Amino acid sequence: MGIATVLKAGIFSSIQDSGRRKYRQYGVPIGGYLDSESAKYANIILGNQLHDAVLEMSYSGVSLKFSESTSICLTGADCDILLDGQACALYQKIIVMPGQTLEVGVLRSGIRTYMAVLGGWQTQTVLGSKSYHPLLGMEKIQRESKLAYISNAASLFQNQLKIAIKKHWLQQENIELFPGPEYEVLLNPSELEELPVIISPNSNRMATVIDQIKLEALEQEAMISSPVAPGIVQLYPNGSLCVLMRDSQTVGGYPRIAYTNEQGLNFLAQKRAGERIHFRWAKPSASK
Amino acid sequence: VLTTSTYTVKAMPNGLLIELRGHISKSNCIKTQELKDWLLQTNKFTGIEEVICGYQSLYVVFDDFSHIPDYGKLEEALQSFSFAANPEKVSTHTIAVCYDSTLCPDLDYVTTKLGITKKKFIKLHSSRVYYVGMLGFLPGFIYMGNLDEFLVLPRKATPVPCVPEGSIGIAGEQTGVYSLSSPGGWHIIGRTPHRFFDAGHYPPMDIKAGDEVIIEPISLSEFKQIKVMS
Repeated sequence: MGIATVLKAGIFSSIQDSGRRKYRQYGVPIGGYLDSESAKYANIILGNQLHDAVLEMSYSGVSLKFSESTSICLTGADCDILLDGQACALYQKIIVMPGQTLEVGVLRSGIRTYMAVLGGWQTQTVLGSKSYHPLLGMEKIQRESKLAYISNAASLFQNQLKIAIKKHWLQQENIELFPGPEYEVLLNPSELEELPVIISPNSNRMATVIDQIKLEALEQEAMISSPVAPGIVQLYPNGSLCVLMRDSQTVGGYPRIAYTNEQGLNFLAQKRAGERIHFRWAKPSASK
Repeated sequence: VLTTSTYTVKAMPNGLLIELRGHISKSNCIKTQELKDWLLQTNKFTGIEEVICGYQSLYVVFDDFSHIPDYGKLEEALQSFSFAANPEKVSTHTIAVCYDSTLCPDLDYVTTKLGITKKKFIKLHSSRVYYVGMLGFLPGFIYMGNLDEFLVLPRKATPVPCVPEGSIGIAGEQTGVYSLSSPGGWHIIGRTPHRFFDAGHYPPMDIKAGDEVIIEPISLSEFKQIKVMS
C-alpha cells in the first residue's frame, strides 16, 4: 500500500466517490463528487471504475508526497500542477515515482479540481462510501493526513489515454430547470430566466445560494417538511434561492419551486461567488 | 401532476414524489410507511433505488430515468395497493431523558416563556406517547409530531452551530432527537444518554417512522451511569 502524505491541505479538500445509496431514509446525505463529469474523466483516464474515490479540491490545490510509485490524473478547474517542480497537464496520466512531491496551485476558471489515483483512493469507508461527510466521524483532510492507495508498478505504463476536453464546459452559464413540486407558488415563472442570478459567497457542498432575487411568489404558510434532493431549488421567505447540492439535507420545509439535473449540478459545482448564471426552463418534451 | 382522492404525484430529480392528502396525523404517517413497504416489495416497478419519507410524502428514487413510470402506469399500479384496515402493531421505544439544566441550555428560557415550572414542563413533555413522524434532515434526526399544545413555541430565530449528541429539542408542534452533534434551531430541553444512530451498522437506526416513543425522565446521575455503560 502506498501513502500520500498531505503537506498542504488547500482551502477545502475531501475524498469523494459516487456517494451513499440507500441511507437518505435515515437522514444521511447522498454526498459524492460535486462535478461528477470531471471526477469521472479522471477515473476514465486511469482506467479506474467510474465510482472510485477521487480527491476533490476547492478553490486551491493540495501538496502531496507519494511513498510508492503510481499514476494519477487531474481534471476539472484549470490550475498549475508541479511534480518535483516539473509542470504537468490536466486530463492526462501523470506517473509518480516513490518520494516525489506533487503541488497543485490556485484553481482558475472553475473551483473544483479532481485528482484520481490508479485503483482509487483507499481511505475509510462509512455506510458504503468513502465520501467525506462532517457528521459521520470521518477524518478530515489536513496537514499530515495520510491517504492510502494501491501501489502496482506493473500497470503504470498501460493505457495512455488522453482526453481533449472542451474548455467551455467550465464556463457554461445556462442551468436547465424543471418545475418542482411547489412550482405553482411562482406567479411569473419566466422571471427566473430574466432576472440576474448571482452566486452568493455562502455557497458550499450543501447548497449553492443565490441572494435575494425578488421573484413574484405566493405567500406560503409554514410547509410540512418533505423530502428534498440534490438539484432541488428552494425559495426562502427572504427571497433568496438555494439549489441543493450533493451534501444537502434529506428533508426541507421551503417551497421546491424547481429542480435541475445532474448536468446543472455539475455546472453549478464549478461556479464561484459573484459569477452570474442563467436559469432556463426545460422544453416540456425534455421533462423528467 | 397527478391527483386522485388519496394522493398527489409530482416529478422530482430521478424519481417521483407521492403526497398523501389530508392533515398530518399518526394514521397518515403509518399509511406512508405501509405504502413505502409495498413500493419496495411489489414487482410492479423496476429499479426503485430508495424511498425517502416525510410525514406523509414519499420520494421514490429510481436508478435510471427509463424506469420512472409515467403517471398512467403509476396510477394503475397503485390501484392494486390498499391501506390495511387494521395496521400492524408498531414498535414502541422508551427513551430516557435527563432534564437537568446543565445538559439543556434552553430549558430555563422555555419554562419562563411558557410561564410554567420546570416540574410541570417535564410532566407535560414526558407523559405523552409520541409517534415518530420522519427521520432526517441530518443523519439520525428523529422528528416526533404530537407535542402537547401547551408547549408549542416557534423555533429559534438563528440556529446554533453545535447541538450536542442526544439533545432533545422542541419547535412548533414537534419534539425531536439530535442523534448526532450538529447545528440546530430547536430549543434544547433535555438530553438522552442513548445512541440512535450508528454509522458502523446496517441499518444505522432501529427506530423508524410510525414507531411509538415513550419518554422516561431520569436524573443527572442516572444519565451519567447509562452514558458510561453504553
